[in-house]
Amino acid sequence: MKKCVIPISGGLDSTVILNHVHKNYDFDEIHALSFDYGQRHKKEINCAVDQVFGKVKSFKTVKIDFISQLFSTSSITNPDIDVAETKDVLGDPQTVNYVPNRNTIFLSICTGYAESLGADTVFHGSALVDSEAGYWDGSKEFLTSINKHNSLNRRDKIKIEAPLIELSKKEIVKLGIDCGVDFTKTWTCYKGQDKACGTCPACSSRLQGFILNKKIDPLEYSINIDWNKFDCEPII
Amino acid sequence: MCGIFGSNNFSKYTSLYEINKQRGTFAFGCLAVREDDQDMYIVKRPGNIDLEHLPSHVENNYDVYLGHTQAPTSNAREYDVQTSHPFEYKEWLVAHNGIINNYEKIVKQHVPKHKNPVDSSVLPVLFDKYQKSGMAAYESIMETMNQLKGLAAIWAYNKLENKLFLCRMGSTLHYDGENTFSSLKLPGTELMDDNTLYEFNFKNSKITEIDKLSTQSEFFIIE
Repeated sequence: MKKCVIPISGGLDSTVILNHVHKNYDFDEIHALSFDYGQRHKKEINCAVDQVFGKVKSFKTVKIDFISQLFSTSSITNPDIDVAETKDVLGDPQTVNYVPNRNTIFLSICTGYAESLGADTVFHGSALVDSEAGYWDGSKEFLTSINKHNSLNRRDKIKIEAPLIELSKKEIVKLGIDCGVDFTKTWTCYKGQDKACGTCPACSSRLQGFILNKKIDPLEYSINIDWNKFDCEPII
Repeated sequence: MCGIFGSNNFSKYTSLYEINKQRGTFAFGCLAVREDDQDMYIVKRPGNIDLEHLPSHVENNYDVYLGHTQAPTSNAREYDVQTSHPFEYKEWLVAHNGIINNYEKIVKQHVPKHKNPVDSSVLPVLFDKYQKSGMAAYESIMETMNQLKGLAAIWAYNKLENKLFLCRMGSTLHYDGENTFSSLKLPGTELMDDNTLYEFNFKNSKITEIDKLSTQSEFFIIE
């Protein structure tokens, strides 16, 4: 029986991966994990709950909120730090939105979970834009290194796959559309307010993905976006 | 990823350096250029530098002062002049803030003998390659930048044509509409157009747009 583990945040990338794997791979069982790590808001996790329905064998939300107590330098885990705006941080080596070593921790848990399930694959949601936004743990080099590390395991060889790692946001949104992703049930914004802010790096790359596909993002934004100006139309 | 900045005014340049230090304290690089005789003053140093300690002839004797503050990259943890900005190759001097995601592919495809762990180092080599093939300096930059995947804000000085260029492709770059630019936003400055090549015109000390790149940024930015 072929099994895999997918960490799903409820954001755009992990949701596209879930739908892509469900539609285009031949796993008998998909097991999904979400992480409550004391992040700034829980909107993503709520979206994850909506997304996994009917697609996975199991779904668990793992509480590791000690992270927010220990890792106080990130705007994502420390509400006293403002989320950095894209225009201020592009090209920054490591913005305040970076959560220290988060992907290593998540992937370690997923890999351990995969071992215990007898799964041979863990999916990782990193995309091309992650390297560009300064996330070292979203790079191809990181993926290669962590797979090398996992290969030391003498019995259960777990492979971490990142099908989006070389894809632009434009390509990811296109893949999501092709896979029938319900984008209304995804949440990308770092801030977690009623509407997406449209100005944090996560919103900026998401918006660009939709605009370059000439599609209207169905999420509501607190900034005014003139979709007509970019010849965008609704996703049918 | 680091910070770049420049001005025709040394006093402004000093302020810009102070502000852009927060983008990288690993190393500092400076290039000053005088247009008429093409005299150049270049400094590369690890860590920070006190600009007051520069030789007295530097202040106010050049037409433009350019800077780069460097953060350590994953491929260059120890300071080495060979892996620090500005990168010089033949007729070109270049400083870059950003990341070239297809660096290895570009090197393999175009300049397989190029050996340097820092991605930015390939820029002047490619500029030179295209200029040698008959392209104008600005065309060489356009040709190179259009092949890059990643983020870039650069200043590039070409000795052959005695021209200074700025290019923004994703990374932030702000300017005051005249002759001062910076990775970090300063009061009175605005974001320069994305995917655009500019020239710093020595004659009137103004930054003017030259051409648009064909690349697309991964980010949609509203100021």
